[in-house]
Order: sequence, then structure tokens, then C-alpha cells
Amino acid sequence: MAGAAFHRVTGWILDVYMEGDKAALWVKSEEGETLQLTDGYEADLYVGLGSRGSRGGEELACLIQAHPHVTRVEWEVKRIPPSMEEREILHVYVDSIRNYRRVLSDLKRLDGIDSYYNIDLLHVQKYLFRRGLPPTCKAELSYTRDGGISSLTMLGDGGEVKPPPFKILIFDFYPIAAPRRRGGGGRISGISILEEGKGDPELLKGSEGEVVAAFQEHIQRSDPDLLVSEDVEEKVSHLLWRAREIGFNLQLGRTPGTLKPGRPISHLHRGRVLLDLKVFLRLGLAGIVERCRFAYIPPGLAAKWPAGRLIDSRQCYEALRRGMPIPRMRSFHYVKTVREAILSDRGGLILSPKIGLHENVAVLDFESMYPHIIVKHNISYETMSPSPSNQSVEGLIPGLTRETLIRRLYFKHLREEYPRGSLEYEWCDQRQRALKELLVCIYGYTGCFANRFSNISCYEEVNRIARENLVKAMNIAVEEGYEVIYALLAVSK
Amino acid sequence: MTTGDDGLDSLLGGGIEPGRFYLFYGDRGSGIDHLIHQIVVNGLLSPGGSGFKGKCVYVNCGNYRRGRMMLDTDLLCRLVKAAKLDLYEALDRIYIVCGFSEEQEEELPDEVENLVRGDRDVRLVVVHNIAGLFTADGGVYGRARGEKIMRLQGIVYRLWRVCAENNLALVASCRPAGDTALGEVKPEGGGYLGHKATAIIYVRRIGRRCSSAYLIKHPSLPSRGIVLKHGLGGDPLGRITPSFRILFQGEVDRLKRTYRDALMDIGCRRAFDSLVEAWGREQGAMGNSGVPTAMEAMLLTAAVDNRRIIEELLREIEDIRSRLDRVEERLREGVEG
Repeated sequence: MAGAAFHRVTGWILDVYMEGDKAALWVKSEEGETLQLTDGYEADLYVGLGSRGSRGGEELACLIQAHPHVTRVEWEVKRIPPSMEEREILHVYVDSIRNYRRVLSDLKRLDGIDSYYNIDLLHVQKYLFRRGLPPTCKAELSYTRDGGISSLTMLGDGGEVKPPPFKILIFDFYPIAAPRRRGGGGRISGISILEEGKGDPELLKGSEGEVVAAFQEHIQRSDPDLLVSEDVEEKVSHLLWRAREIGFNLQLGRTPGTLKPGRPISHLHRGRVLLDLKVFLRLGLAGIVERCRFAYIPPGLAAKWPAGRLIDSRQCYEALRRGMPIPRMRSFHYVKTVREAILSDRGGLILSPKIGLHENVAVLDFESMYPHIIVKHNISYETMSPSPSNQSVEGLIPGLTRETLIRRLYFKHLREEYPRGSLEYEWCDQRQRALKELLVCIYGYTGCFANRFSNISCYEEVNRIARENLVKAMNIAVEEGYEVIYALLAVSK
Repeated sequence: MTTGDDGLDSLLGGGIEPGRFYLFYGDRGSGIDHLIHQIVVNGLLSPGGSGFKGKCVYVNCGNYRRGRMMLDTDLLCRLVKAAKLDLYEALDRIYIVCGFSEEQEEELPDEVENLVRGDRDVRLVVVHNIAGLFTADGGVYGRARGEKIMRLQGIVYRLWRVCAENNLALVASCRPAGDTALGEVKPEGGGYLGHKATAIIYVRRIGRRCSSAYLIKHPSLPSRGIVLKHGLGGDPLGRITPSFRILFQGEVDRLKRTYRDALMDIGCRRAFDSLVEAWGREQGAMGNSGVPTAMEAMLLTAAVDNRRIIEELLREIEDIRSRLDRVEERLREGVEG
């Protein structure tokens, strides 16, 4: 770093992705400028083989070390989920992202490797997890002249109500006919554009060439951070292919790029995030920011991924933070006797309604009952295993649930301090709704077959305690002289 | 071991033998799923009762998001009771192993091997819908389909090896490939499954409660078909533990049809109706109870309701008795006065 002049910028992390062997970060500065910085990244994975002392293990480790694309290997002791037993596994560092799949496929041909870890996460996830960096957060960065990040400090804007000042552009167009193939048919006769803060939408009209050129000119002039449209990826792809068809090199990103068959369109909108209109309208920018902060993934993915995948991402982050390797997605163990299965999985509880017209009826509703049960009873994959880990230590799921629950309740109650209809009210509401969506799914996801940590006992235990709570609440009401006319405990399937 | 159906047993030359692989396939509604439940229960019977008197591993391969193809616990409990086995003990002797995706199904042979090694009482492995996860995407052709079939072959081989090495009977079920209406009756999942099976039986429903079974392959018997006059039971499959409300409703409907309508005494019918009302009121408590079958939960609720009525009657009798005492007292005072 000798002689390198350092620059500083304070701003919000707009987007993160991998480019070559580095992470590319787009930062929106407080002054409203956008700049691209890069950060180092080392691709790696873990493999389980014989122990370090064993002959087979040592031989295999030497063999892996000798692979031309493996830079180094290290033995590390890790607690392996779900049993959390300590085991020595081999940490394999790969020379570049480009060679990652090749190394993995070569390793799979070797006899003696019984397990693989950290192999089905995106590299961008691994980078963000390692950095502990939730995209859209505010940070202070110093960087060299060539854009390499030398230091990154998060500024703790977690309590902010207002979302980052990202500039939004909503666009839509209607092809004259449905596209028959890429670029074929579906001529574009006009594009409507709506910018945040401007009243009416603007309509770009004319010949297809004029419309596309005007759209590019508009984008370059207004320089938006977020491009929003219905089926946005389809729309952008269609736009790029139509432009190519008429011989126009359309530039939608902040760095130049050219459309090539077989290559993803992601490199053609570098520096601008694509968001689906429906998701944007449902969650709002503040809601998408909450999803980014929860799952430690860039906003484009946060808006696109379903709740289960976001929870998976956060679980992986928490697991890595606790020094656990990430098992592959495929593991799921459901081995029980039929008696255990029947008695443990009783589902929800419905007390039959008393039919008729009732007067003076009050409704009791639990506030975030399932998340509270998870936190209070420390229900997690490792605490509910046949050989549970130390109960005094907060489990993986209670940890992330507690944090999310506190955050949701903070915004839910803060919302009431602002007048209804104000921007602040709306932002608080967007944030708490986005978090509620995730909290509702956390408990159901513990019993989902697609969950890599998968311990169905967690799901069953939460259901059991929830049923008990419902019965307790009903009995309190009855003892106080009330009549219970209906009670319901719905479960996630 | 018997399959539970004399016709099928005779078709197989006596029933199911240890160390062999039996493949049953047929459409939904053919009774295959009922047969699988029956075979699981039969595995628990003593040899005198035509069983293995061992434990059973029930392997389920199905994605609950795509289709319902799972163990019906209520049916299983009914079959256990019909076989006069102790319910709790029998349910403890059946292991469930589930795979909900192709990748998870690939791990099942290892799970089965661990179970078999850890529990030497296991005599039977029953695989429900062995090829379903690999054939669910009917539109997959070419290389992708070839790869899937190869992976399925690996699973079949590993399961077969585990059972053969431990002298266990392996029973698997699957659906027919293609449209059975067009006469195609091969099992789905490619030829390897059929190749590895010792005996193959195709079951087809031909009437409301009547099925036909065809012996497609057997090491010593010629191919032939028979008609199973009573069919192989229904096809009431749901999730691993079906919702109590569904079980309850099914049980009440069944009782109304088969029991209530047969009651001669009008008073008994009214008593039955009042019990149904009590059960309906306390569905929540029944669903939350620790008994495994809907019928037992209903019996418990009926007993509780009867107790409630008895307590009410006792209170009324006590009340009447005290009033009577007071009247007697006053009468006595009047006479003496």
C-alpha cells in the first residue's frame, strides 16, 4: 500500500456483487454521488475426511493441497450441526472464483471425503457474511486511488426510520406484440417513466430507435439507483434485445457493457439495482432495506428471494459467526417411530365455535406468539437435538429471532408516534411489516424439508407450547367468568 | 409373511419371503397404498399369524407440496387393532424415514442401513412410492431424465444391497409409467427397478370394490392375473399426521353411516346424536390429546361427557333429596303441631 493515497467516503452500500475475484461495492455517498469500490475475497470451502492424525486423512489433505488451484489447506476444529459435536475438518482455499467449481468437482471424485461445507452459498453471501456487512447500511470507507477498499466501518444507522436516499425510477412499456424470441417481435412503441418526487409519469414516444435512445438519455441524466418495473428482469432483457435488434448499444448501467448471447444481463445494469414493481409496492424501499439487513444480501436478491431463502441466508450468517460450517442443502433427517411421529406432531388447535349471534365479544390476540416462544424457551436446532447443547447459551434461532423481534416491535411502536399518512409512519410500517413477514416464517421454516439445518422437533415443540398457551389463556378467561366462544391456533404447513 | 390378501399370496406362491425384493405398482385408487399399510402391519405379526414378528422400516418418498403420498396413521392404527396387536407397542415397532426431495431420497439408504445395523429386530423394509420424486417432472426428457434415472438406480441398488445383506424383505410401491388407459403397464422409474425386483405385481382397479392383480415377474412362477373380489381397501392418504379435524369428520361420517343408522332404539339414536354434539364441542381438546387415534379421543370425550351428565344428575338428585327432606320436616312439624 506504499505511496497509495487514501480517499474517504461516507455513504450507503447500494449494491454488492462479485466481479472476477473481487467484490464490487457500489456506494451512494452523503453528497449524492455514486462510486464503485472493490474489495478482496478468497474463495474457500470445508471438507470432512479422516482426522488429522489418521493416515488416510493426512494423505488426502496432502493430495488436496497438491491441486493446482488450491492455494492452501488448514485443519480446523468446528462444531458440526445438527449434533454440534466438535470435529476436525479441512479448510480448503481456492485460488479464484473461476476455478471454484472445478476444484469442487475434482474433490467429489476423491474417495474418503464424507462431507462438504460452505459450498452452496453464493460468493457474494460469503463475502458479506465474512465482512458482517448488511447491504444498504451506512458506512465510512477509505479507499485507494484504484478503488480498492482499505477500511470499512459501519456507522450504526440501525435505528433510522428514513430509508437510504436511493433514487428510484419506475418504468414500463408495452410491446406491440408479444416477443416470439429474444429480440424478435415485441417492438417497443413507447416507454412511460415515473420518477420519485415528480408528479406525472413521462411518456417517451416515437420510432423504436428514438424511444430507446430517449430512455438511455433519461437514465443517464436522472442517474437512478433503483430501476423498478413489473417483471423487471424480463422487461430489461427485452429492452436490451430489442435495442440490439435495431443496432443500438443500450447502456443502462453505470459502467459500459455490451449484450452478448449466453451471458447474463446483470453486467449491463451494473451500479443500478433492478426491483420488481409488485414487490416494491408491497414492501416499499424501507421494507426491502429491512430484508437486506436481515439476510445480509444485496437489495436485488432481497426483493426477489422468498422468506424461506432469506431465513436460510441469515441462519448461515449466524452459524458462520458462531464458528459452525454450513451443511449442504440436502440434509434432512426424519427418522422416528410411528408412535413418536403421531404424538409429537399434533399441529395447531381449534376450539369449535359456539354457533349463534354473540354480543359483547372481546378478542384476545397474542403479539408475535411463535417468535416469543422461540426466544423464551430457547428453541433451536442445536438445543432440540437428541443430545442438546448447553441450554444456557442462546441458540442460533432464538438469537436471530430475538434481534428481529425487538427490531419489529421497535418500529411497530415507533410508528404510532407519527401521524397516520406521514412518510415516517409509512416507513415504520414498511419496516415492521417486512420483519413480521420474516418472523411469521421463521417458526414454520424450522420444520421445512428444504431447511439445511432441519430439526423438525423445533417446529413440534413450538406448536406444543403454543397449544398450551392457548389453553392457559382460555382457562384464565373462564376462571374470570368469561365465556369462550372460539379459539384458534393456526400452524404453518 | 402374508400380504394380507389371500389372492395376492397365492399369486406370489405363498407371500413375502425374507431377502427378496417385491415391487407392487398401480394407480391411485387401485389400493396399492392401502396394501403398503397392510404389509407394514403384517411385518409385526408373529410367524404363527403369518408375519415376521420383527420391526419394520417404512420409507416414504414424496414431496408434500406436489402431492399427497404419505403414511395414513389412522388407517395404520385401525389395521393394527384389526390384527389384535397392542397399539402402542406396534407403533413403537415401526420406524418412519422420510425423503422429501430427490437429494434427500439419495440419503435414505444410509439412514435405513444405520437403522438396520442399530436394531437387529428389523425384518422388513417398505418403500412407499420409490420412484415418485424422480418422475414428478413428467416433462423432463433427454439427458436430464437419464441422469435422474441413474440416480434412482443408485438408490434402488443401495436399498436392495442393505436388505439382501441383512436378509430383510424389501417391499416397494410405485405408479405405472405412462397412461394406463392405453395399456402401458410398466412401472415408472425405468427398467432397472423391474430388473432388480424378485417379484413384480401390477394392481389395477376394475370395479368399485374390485381390483385385478397381475404377476409380471417371479423367479419360479409363470405370469398370470387374478381378480381380487374385495379390492385392496381405499386410498385415504394424507400428510404424516393428518389433521385431527379431517380424521374426526371421517370417523363421525363413518359412524353415522355404519353405526347410528343401524341402532334400533330411538333413544339410543338420540344418545348417539348427543355424543356427536359433545364431540363436536370438544374437538379442540381431542386434537390436543395424547391418544393416537380419532376413535380413542372420541371415546375419551364420550366418557367425559357421560361423567358430566352423571355429575349433573347427582347434583339434581341431591337437590331433590334436600328439598324432600325439608318437606318431610315441615310435614312432621305439622303433624306434631
